[in-house]
Amino acid sequence: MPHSDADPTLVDVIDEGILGRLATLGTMTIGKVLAFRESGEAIPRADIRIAVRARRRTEEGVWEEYEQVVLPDLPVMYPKVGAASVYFPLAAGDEVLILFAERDIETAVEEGADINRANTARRHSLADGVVLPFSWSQSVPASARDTGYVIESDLIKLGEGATAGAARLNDDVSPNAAFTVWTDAVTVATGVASLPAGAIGDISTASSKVQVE
Amino acid sequence: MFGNPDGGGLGLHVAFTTRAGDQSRPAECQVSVYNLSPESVGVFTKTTNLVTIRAGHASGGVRQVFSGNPVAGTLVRHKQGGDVVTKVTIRDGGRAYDFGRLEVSLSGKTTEREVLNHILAQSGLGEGHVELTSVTFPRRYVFSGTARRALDELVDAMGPSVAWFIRDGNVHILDKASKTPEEGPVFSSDLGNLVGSPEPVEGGGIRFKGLLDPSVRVGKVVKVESKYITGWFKVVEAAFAGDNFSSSFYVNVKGVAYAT
Repeated sequence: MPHSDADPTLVDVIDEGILGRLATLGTMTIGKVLAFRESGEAIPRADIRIAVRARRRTEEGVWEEYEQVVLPDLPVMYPKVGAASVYFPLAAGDEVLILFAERDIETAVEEGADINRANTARRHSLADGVVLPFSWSQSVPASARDTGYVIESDLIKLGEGATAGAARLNDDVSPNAAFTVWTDAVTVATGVASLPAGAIGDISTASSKVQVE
Repeated sequence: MFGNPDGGGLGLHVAFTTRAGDQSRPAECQVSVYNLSPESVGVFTKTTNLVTIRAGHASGGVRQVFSGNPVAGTLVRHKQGGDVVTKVTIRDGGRAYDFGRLEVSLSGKTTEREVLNHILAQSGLGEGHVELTSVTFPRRYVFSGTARRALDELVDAMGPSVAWFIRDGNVHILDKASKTPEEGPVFSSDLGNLVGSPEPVEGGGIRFKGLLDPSVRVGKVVKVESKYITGWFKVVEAAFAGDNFSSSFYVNVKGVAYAT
C-alpha cells in the first residue's frame, strides 16, 4: 500500500498488516561471528552480526535498507547425544546459521528442565536466536572446513577406507606372530625369560600419527 | 491559529471531536475547518506537524484539549452548502506511534527501565506517569521494529493487569486499577457543569456528559455529584466535542468506580 494512498482497499490494509508482522518474525538467517566465548559453560556463546540487510519504509514512504542489530551472547549449539559430541570452536569471521525460536527459550537453555517456562511472551524474536556452526557461502574454501575438529566419545567407530583401523592414544600394543617367534628364539638361545602374555605397552603421547586434543 | 480571532486566530469555523481510551491505541481527534484557504490546507498533510486544539469555558479557562500529528491519508475536503469543509484526523503521539522505531542490542542482564529509556529516546515519546513492574531480561535484550510493538512486549511482560497508553505525547504505564496522580475536576449539578444525569453502564461504571473541562484525561480520577450517583471515578474513556460557531463544548466520560 503506497504511503500516500488515501483510498486503500480492505485487501491493501490486510496485506500491509501481514507484511508488518512478517518484518519482525524471526525464522532463520545467516550471520558471521563477531566474538566467541567458551567461558567454561556447557553451551558456548557468540556475538553475531546478521549478514543480510533488512528493509523498512521511512516516514516519507520510501523503502530503505539497513544493517540489522547485533545479536549478543547467543547460545552456540553443537551435536551432542549422551557421551558423544562434536565440538569445534568458532572464531571471529566464521559463518553461522541463526535459528529464531518460536518462544522465549532462555530459561530452557539455562536450566534444561523437561518442560521449561518461557520468561516472556515474545514470539520468533531476534532475542531468541541460537547459533549453528554451518558455513553458508561459496567464499569459504573447502580446506578451511576440514581442520581443527575434535570428536569425543567413549567409543568412536571410524569409517572404512583411509581411516579404517586407526588407533587411539594409550591403546594397548600386543605382539604379533613374527615378534613372538623372534622372542621365543631369543629365550631358547639366551635363557632369558619369555615376555608375559598380553600387552607389551601402549601408544605413546609422542606419536605423530595418533593425536588428541 | 484558525479559530478564535481574539486569541490571534483567523476566526474560522472550527469543530472537533476527540476520542481517548486506556488502550495502547492512540487517542484520535477529527477536526473540521470551514473555508480554509487551499494554501493553508498543507499544514494538515505533513505527519511531522503538530496540531493543537485549545478550548474551554470561561470559568475554567481555555487550555489544550488535544494535540497530535495529522494522520497520512485522512485529509478530505468537501462542499457542505456554501462552505468548503476540510476534515482531517490527528492522533496523540501519532507520528511516534506510526513511525517510531526501536533498534537496540543490549548485552547482559537488562532491566525494564533500561528498555523503556531506549524506547522513549528513539521514538521521541515523552515519559508520563510510569509504574514499572520488575522485569529482567537475563542474558540480552534485542529488538528491531516499531516502538509501539516494543512497548506492547515490554508491558505484556509486566503482567496482564498492566497497560500503556499515550496521553499528550507521553507514554503512561500503570496497572489498570491505578490512576495517574493529578487531581481531577468535580462535575456536579450544583457547579452547573454536569449535563443531564450520569448513567450506570455494564461492569459497574458510569457515563456522564459535562461541560468541556480541558483537564479531563484518561487515567485521572474525577468526582461526580448527582442526585442518584455520587463518587470518585477513574476516567477510562474521554471524548471532547466542540464547535466555536455554536459555542457547544462538552466532554463525554466513561468512568469506573475508584476508591480514594
